[in-house]
Amino acid sequence: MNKPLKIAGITFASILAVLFIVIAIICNIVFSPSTLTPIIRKHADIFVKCQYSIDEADLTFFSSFPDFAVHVRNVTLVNPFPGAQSDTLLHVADLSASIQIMEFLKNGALVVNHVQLKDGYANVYRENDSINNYSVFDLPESEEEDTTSSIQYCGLNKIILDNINATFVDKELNVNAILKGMDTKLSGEFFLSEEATKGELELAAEKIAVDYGDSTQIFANTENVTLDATWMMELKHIDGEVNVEMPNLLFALNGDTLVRNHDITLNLPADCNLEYMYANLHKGTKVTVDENEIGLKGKVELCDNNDIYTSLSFETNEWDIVKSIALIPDAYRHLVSDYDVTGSFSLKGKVNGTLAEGNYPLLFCDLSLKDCNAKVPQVPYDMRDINADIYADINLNQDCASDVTIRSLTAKADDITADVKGTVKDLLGAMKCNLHVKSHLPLLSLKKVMPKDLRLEMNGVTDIDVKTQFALADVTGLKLNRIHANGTIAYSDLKVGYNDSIHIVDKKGTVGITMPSRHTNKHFKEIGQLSLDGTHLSVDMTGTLNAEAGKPSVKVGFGDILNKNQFIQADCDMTFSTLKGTMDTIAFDVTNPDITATLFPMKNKPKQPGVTASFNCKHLSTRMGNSLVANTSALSLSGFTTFNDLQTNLLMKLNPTLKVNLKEGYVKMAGMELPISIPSIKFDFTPDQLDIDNSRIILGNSDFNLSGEITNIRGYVERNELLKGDLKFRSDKTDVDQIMDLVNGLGNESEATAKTADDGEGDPFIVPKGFDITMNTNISHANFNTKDIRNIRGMLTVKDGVLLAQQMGFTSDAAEMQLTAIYRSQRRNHLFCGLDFHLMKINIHELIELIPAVDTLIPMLKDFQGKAEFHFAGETYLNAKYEPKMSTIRGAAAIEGKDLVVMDNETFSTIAKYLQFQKKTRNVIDSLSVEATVFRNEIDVYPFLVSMDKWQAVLAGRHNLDMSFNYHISLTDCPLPVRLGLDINGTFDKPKFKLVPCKYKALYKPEKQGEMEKNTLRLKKMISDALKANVIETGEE
Amino acid sequence: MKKICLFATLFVFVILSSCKKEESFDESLIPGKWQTGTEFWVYEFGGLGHTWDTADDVTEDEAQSFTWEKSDTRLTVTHIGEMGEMIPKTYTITTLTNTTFAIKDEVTGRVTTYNRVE
Repeated sequence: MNKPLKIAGITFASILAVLFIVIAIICNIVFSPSTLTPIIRKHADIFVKCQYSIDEADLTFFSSFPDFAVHVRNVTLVNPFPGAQSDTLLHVADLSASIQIMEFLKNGALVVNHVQLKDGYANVYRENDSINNYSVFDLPESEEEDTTSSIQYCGLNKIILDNINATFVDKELNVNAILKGMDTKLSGEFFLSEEATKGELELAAEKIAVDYGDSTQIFANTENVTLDATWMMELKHIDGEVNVEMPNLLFALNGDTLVRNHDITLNLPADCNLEYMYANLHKGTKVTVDENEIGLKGKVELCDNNDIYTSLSFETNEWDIVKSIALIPDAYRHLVSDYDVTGSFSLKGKVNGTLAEGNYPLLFCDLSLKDCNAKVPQVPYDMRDINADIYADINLNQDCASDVTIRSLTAKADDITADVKGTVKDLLGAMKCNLHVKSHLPLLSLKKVMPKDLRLEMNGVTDIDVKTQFALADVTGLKLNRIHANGTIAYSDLKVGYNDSIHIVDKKGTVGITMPSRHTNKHFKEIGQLSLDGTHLSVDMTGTLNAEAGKPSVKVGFGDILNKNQFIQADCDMTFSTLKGTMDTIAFDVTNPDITATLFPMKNKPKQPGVTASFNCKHLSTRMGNSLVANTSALSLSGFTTFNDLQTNLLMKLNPTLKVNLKEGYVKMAGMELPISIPSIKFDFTPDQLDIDNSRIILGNSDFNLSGEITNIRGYVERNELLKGDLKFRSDKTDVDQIMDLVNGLGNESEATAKTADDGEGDPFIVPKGFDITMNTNISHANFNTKDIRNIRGMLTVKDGVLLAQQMGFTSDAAEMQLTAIYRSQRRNHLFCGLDFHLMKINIHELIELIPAVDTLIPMLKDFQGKAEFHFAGETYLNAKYEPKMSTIRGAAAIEGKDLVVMDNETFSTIAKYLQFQKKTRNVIDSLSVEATVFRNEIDVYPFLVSMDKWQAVLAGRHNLDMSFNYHISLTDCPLPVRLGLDINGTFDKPKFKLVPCKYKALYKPEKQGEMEKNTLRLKKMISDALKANVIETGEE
Repeated sequence: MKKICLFATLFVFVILSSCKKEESFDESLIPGKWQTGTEFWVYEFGGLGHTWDTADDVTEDEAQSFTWEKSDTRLTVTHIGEMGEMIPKTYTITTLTNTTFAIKDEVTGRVTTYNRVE
């Protein structure tokens, strides 16, 4: 070390030593506590109006180097005040302050380097500004700037509060506050004459409690509060950062604890301008409640009109929902107390706009839910794995909409999964949703949401994929026409059971929904369409229906089905590859059925339905137990009905129109030996008319067509008018015998039943009244009594209780025939039966074979051989057992023949013997004309002439239905000299012969006829003419 | 001559005795309702009539029609059937009073007696 330096060092040290000695002398001798304390007390007496005490004051330098500091110990202000917490207003164990001597000496500036209060407490009481316990200082009223003062400016660098406690009571504002253990360090550069300041604040308090109770009651309590802040202020612009920690904060408003013991932290790096009243929150601004953070960044500005403009972005960390729920104030905790939600969520967004009266800033927010689970009382599922990414655009201003975009929302519940995407426009208003929902839904899971008393069992799995658009009001108001939906529900292993009585099973299928419908319906505007495409659907309704449908395809279009002011609108189209099953005793099997049905309200009567329906199939087979089997290769049904509930009759209520087209049908009935084959039948039905366009029916050997129309159905039903019909029956071949056998078989069965039910009374066929139906028959060939009958033509009529076969003409090998028959059931035990029957050119023995009753009428006819004409008309009334009422039997018959051969038999031989008649090998008679009448049990054979060779005889007589008789034969011309007569009496088994005088010798001799003979012939002619009057020429329709 | 006169007288007697005068009946007595057993006949003026038998559960409303014609003692009843058939029956009137009406079947000779009901 060189010498100059050594000298300089020694000199500097010496100066310092002197300086320290001087300062020590000043501090300990000049301004010793004993001298300084009285000085302070003297000044305190001037400014402090209340009782006070100061233990001592001293001046320090070394402990506060390089500044001088004044310490005042145990400063106490005592101001007893009624109502105050304590008489002691203030007590500070150690009060110190220091100033910068060098600044004062050098620049004339009074810069307080620090002010410190240590270990003190204060009790502040206030009733108003003038009545309080702290107005104890007598300060000068005017503090005009002393321009003559040598102090250039004043400043303060640091304020330190160390272990300060305080209480504050304000009776006017009703405030009670406690501050305990507060340590505060405020440092910086605070100069009265400069506009730029900067500072730091560090504050810590063991406890801060505030109880404010005016119109609004507020209570706040926190412990171990820390606050640190730094700032730089220049020209009313402050740039700094505030960090506050309020652990265990308790905050209550009006008795409701809004924050209960939560740790709240505020990190606020920001700048603000007090002139323009705005603040910019810098990156890092954060509010933390326990572990929940909200980061903020942006600008807040108070406008001149007191509007608040914001442009803030915010972002949370991942908030644990359970902990977040714990943040909910106690008063509102019950709102979510039933919800058990776990997981986390986060928010990120912006707030832009002006907050003013009636105006709110816009909120743009992203909500993210992560791994959430939820148990909600209203939802019987434990929802889990809820993840969502949702964006919300919230605009609370009038006439503005808030929108939500669900970027993704997935959740699980039991075995259910759901995936939702879409948007909700106008969230707080109309809530216009546009959603895409996907879900995996095991049907068994739905049991939880079904009413317990609903005995519905569902198994299987569905996968839902539906896009839908709707507004909330459309759903709550069930305005289906405003709802858009498009999607599918695919199911597999479907098993549905209802009430243990209905079971539906399908392996796999898809249900589709389309709203609005793309299908145009001519009856109504379709709102939507449902479809079902299955694999093999089976339906089992225990004891009622069991059906299986192959490849079912069902489309149901529907209109506004919820409109109560009109009937339901629905359109159904069903196709199946096969449809088979049983219904009670009915079994059916249908191939490719295509069924359509449309329900719609009537235009003028919307509450009444109209129905159109059609059914088509390629093959249909049905079986009704053992009683009926029916098949068809093609069946087409189409119909239309308009329901009218004003009508009482079901037919008129339904008002149906029906078109039927059946091909290659087959019907087999029990008790009917032969099946019925229907190659085709086609008819149209309306409430007014039934038109049978064409039909062909094969019944055993019979093959016929039926066509025509039934009219006035409405008049018949509504006004009891006659039901009219005009039908045509065309047949190439009809086997009457076979049909009769079939009918007889059926009849016997029903008769047996009838007798069992009402033995002895009979059960006759009562021809229904109210009908006027005519069947025009045209049968080319008919087999009757083993005879081939041809060209049967005539009318078969049912008219108001009368069954009439009218002028039925026909031809057989034996004869040309014509028949008119009437059956009239006036009452149950009084049935009219009438016949008008004509046979032309018939072989007599075939006639008897064809109609055995002829032998009863004219027993001697069987003794002739050859062709004849036969005419018969007769009638009788029958009782309920179809037994003739003897008193009502009426009848007349006429037989005419030529070149007949008299059969050689025992009777003829006997007659020939009595009348001396010479028989030949072939006994031919030229002509025969017999008239007979039946009256009750009497059969009168009017006298008829038999000419054979040179012999002429007249036969006449009467026989009874018991076949006893009384006949006479007059031999009117013969080679013999006498004219013999022969009476034949008795029965045909034992005839008695007696020669008597000739009775009719003048009957056929005009020159000898008397009145009686003429009258007899007149009656014969009258009988014959009356019978022949009904004969129509062959070939006539 | 005496023999001739006797023969002539005898001849005239025989002739006169063999020509029995036929009984004539007042036709106006016929119309009315006549009954025999359960059988009823109503003869109307103008030659119409109807008949029924209550034993067969037939009422008058359900009766069957006929026409009748009287010529001397002969009564011709023609039953007119609904099927167009005509069944003439001829009888000989044997008794006809205000209360009794008897006719004989010309074939069997059986006489049936009716009593007037109305």
